[in-house]
Amino acid sequence: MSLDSEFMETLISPDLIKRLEQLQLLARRRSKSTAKGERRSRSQGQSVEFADYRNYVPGDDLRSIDWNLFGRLDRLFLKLYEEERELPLTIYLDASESMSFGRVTKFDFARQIAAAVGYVALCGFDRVTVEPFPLVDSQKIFVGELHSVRGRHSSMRFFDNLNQLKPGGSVDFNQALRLGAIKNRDPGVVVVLSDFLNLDGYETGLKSLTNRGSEVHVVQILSEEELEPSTYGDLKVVDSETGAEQEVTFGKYRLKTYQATVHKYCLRLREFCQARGVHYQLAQSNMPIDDFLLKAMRTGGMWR
Amino acid sequence: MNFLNPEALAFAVTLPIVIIFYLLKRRRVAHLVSSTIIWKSFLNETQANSPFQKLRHNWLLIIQLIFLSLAIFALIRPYFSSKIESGRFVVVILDVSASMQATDVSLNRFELAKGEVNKMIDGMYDNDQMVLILSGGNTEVRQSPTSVKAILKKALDQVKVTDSPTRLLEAIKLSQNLSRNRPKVEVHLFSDGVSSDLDAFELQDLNLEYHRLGKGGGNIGITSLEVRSNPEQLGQQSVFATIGNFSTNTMSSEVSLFFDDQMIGNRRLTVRPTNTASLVFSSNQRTNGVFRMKLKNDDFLQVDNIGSVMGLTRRNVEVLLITKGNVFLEKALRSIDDVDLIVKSSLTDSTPNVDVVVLDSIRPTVWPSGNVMAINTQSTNWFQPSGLLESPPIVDWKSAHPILRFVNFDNVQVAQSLNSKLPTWMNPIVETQSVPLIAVGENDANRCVWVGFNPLDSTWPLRVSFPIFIANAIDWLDPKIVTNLSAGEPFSMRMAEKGSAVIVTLPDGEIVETSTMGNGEFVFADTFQQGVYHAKYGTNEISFCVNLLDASESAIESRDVLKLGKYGRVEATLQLDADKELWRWFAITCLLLLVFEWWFYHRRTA
Repeated sequence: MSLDSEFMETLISPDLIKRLEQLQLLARRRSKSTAKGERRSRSQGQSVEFADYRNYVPGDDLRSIDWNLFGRLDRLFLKLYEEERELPLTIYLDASESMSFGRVTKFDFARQIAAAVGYVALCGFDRVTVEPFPLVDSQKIFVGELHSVRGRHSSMRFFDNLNQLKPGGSVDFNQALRLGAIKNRDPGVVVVLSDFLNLDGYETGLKSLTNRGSEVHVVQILSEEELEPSTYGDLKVVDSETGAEQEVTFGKYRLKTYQATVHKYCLRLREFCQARGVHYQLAQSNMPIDDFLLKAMRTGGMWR
Repeated sequence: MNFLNPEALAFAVTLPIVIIFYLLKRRRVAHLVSSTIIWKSFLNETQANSPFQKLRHNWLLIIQLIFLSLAIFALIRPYFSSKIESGRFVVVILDVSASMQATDVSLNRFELAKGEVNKMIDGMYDNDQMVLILSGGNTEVRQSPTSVKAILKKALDQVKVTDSPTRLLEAIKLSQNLSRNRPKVEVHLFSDGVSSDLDAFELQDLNLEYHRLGKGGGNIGITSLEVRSNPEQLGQQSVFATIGNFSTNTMSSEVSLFFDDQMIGNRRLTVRPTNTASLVFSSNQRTNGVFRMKLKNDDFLQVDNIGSVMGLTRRNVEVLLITKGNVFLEKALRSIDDVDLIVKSSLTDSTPNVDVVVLDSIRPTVWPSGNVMAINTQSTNWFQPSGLLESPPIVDWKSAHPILRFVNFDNVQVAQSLNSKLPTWMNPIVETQSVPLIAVGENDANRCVWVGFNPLDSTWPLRVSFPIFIANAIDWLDPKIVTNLSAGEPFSMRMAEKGSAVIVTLPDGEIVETSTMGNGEFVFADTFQQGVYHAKYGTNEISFCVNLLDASESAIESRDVLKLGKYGRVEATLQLDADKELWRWFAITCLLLLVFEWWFYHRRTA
């Protein structure tokens, strides 16, 4: 399938789409979804994969009786097959004001990842839900369209709706993730795309996701200006979301100390994730998206 | 170690100010970032937000504090008490005469000289002393010996050039006196060397350096200007002028004569090199006024291109002679040109409206007020008579006194004289062995000449000295007012009232308030500008003119060599030695370092 609409050009290149089609989402746990799909699940039902036998009880479907076994043992046994269920994929997309920074904005980068992950999931007949936060009224219509998207045929509209999202406003990260976890009850694969630069921390929110039994992937996206600031002097840095001000005198001679601080901040998130079996990836918003998707995310266990 | 200026320690308050500046919020550039969370962590880690942590390891601040401390330390002028060699004693004689106004150099010679002296002040060492002497018509010590450059510069700055002739001799003599018994004396003369009085000085061992100013150039100027009544035509006044050309080329000039700003004559005059030309203008002006002569040319000295002279008609002296008959005295008085004589036998009015009262052997009931010549009489209030003295021999007379000018008593015999004791305010000018014969004095602004014998009882009326004495005495009792003066020459006038206020308007419009002296004499010495001065006292006003009119001053060719006395010669110094202090350069370097430091600091943070 080829997608050549205009917005696709900006979100994901057709070439990348082709390569993404070859990928398959990895899920360490079996799907617990109730909807049918193409993922192996613990449930038993109709499929080609034999699972077990059980005694026949009246009312069972006669088509499932193993007549060969009846011939040998003269007892009725029912053949059970593994039920293939869908894998719910929930993408938590940070659309706060802080994501609008960077030469290639962090939000654009995050949206590209969301599009790629979503597309891979749709190709795998999985259910894809994108939860952008904060939820702005003007974007509610698109957000509704991004809920429970299924099938490759929906990918075009999926991209279209993703493209309509705009970053802005401030958010309580933990609250947003907790509400998301309550709303999307089926545990599945969860991808959190954010810069994780929240004053209230991120621990509670991530915990609420892991507690649901979901397989969580965290992608921390930082802009090049955040990793290596190029503005020096006597500064009054203003928080884009809260408007809080902080006076700082910054020069090249303090760059290394700053970078050490950033590294320490990221390391703390990584350690938090590792301790809870969460996959962690750090991305710079201006890095080539192909490299990140096909190399970093593959090694990070997102897909194969 | 001691401090010359411990008050400067007050500048130490600037030290905490520097620290406060560091602590104070600087003007910061607002910079929008996605989140301040990393910046907060960063600041927490660097511990920069606690007040004194900011100063930790801040070498820039430490360097600034060291700089400032050193500057304050320098300002309080620390010193160690020790014996050091005394410095130079520099006497600077600055010529402020009219010829220094010559514009043959940039601006003029005087400004050039000031610049040179300024450089010399800059080059002084701390232990050097300098005296500033101004030499014009008068010599003035403008600044007594000091090492403080600021005081010297201030004194120099206030010096103004005058229109008076040069009298360098007095200044050089003064510098010799000032520098006597001092080691390392240097006398620097900043002049063009135009001075006519140096022949009378022997150089001896005076370390005189002559700094020649100017080169010379074309100059044509008025060297004499006079008004006289025309003897041929009554009522007419003639203005005589001499114009001198002091250059080596023939020069011409337009000569205009004004009477109270109204032009009454204009001529074109050409004068051959180093020659003079005389001019006579006739005027029908009968009123008192000022004749002003102007030369219009483009020579290098403007001050001698203008001259003014009062065209006053002299008022005669009114003399009242009280006598019972003295033909010699009466004849002597009548022989004086400008005397209107009234002869009476007795004094009826104690306040006669005359200039001089002559009492001849008459004792008035009330002594007359005003100027009195008392012959063979005495006031009981002033003199204490104790009889007569027979044939007193004249033993001494003060020929230097103006009354005794050209008067000789060698062949004068006196038959008898009064034996009186003089009041304290009178001084004898002719004396016998025991008593005064003639005395003069001034009491309550009135002058008195006292002759203690009857001339008829002596051989004096037969001698030529008698009429001369009478003429001198009248002249002294009612002196003529000189209204045409040379620049620098004081104006004096006798007034009736003592201590009365006089307002003098100088030629440049400046108004000087002064008053008459205790004896009623008004003396005004600030006559260094040429032009017309107006002195107002009460409802009366008198004008007088001050002129340069000095041929030697108009000869502006500056001298290469000063000839002092018979053998002394001082050649002009070409180069002025000046030791330049270097502390300014160090201070500038220090300042530049500070600026660089700031720039570097901001470059690092910018």
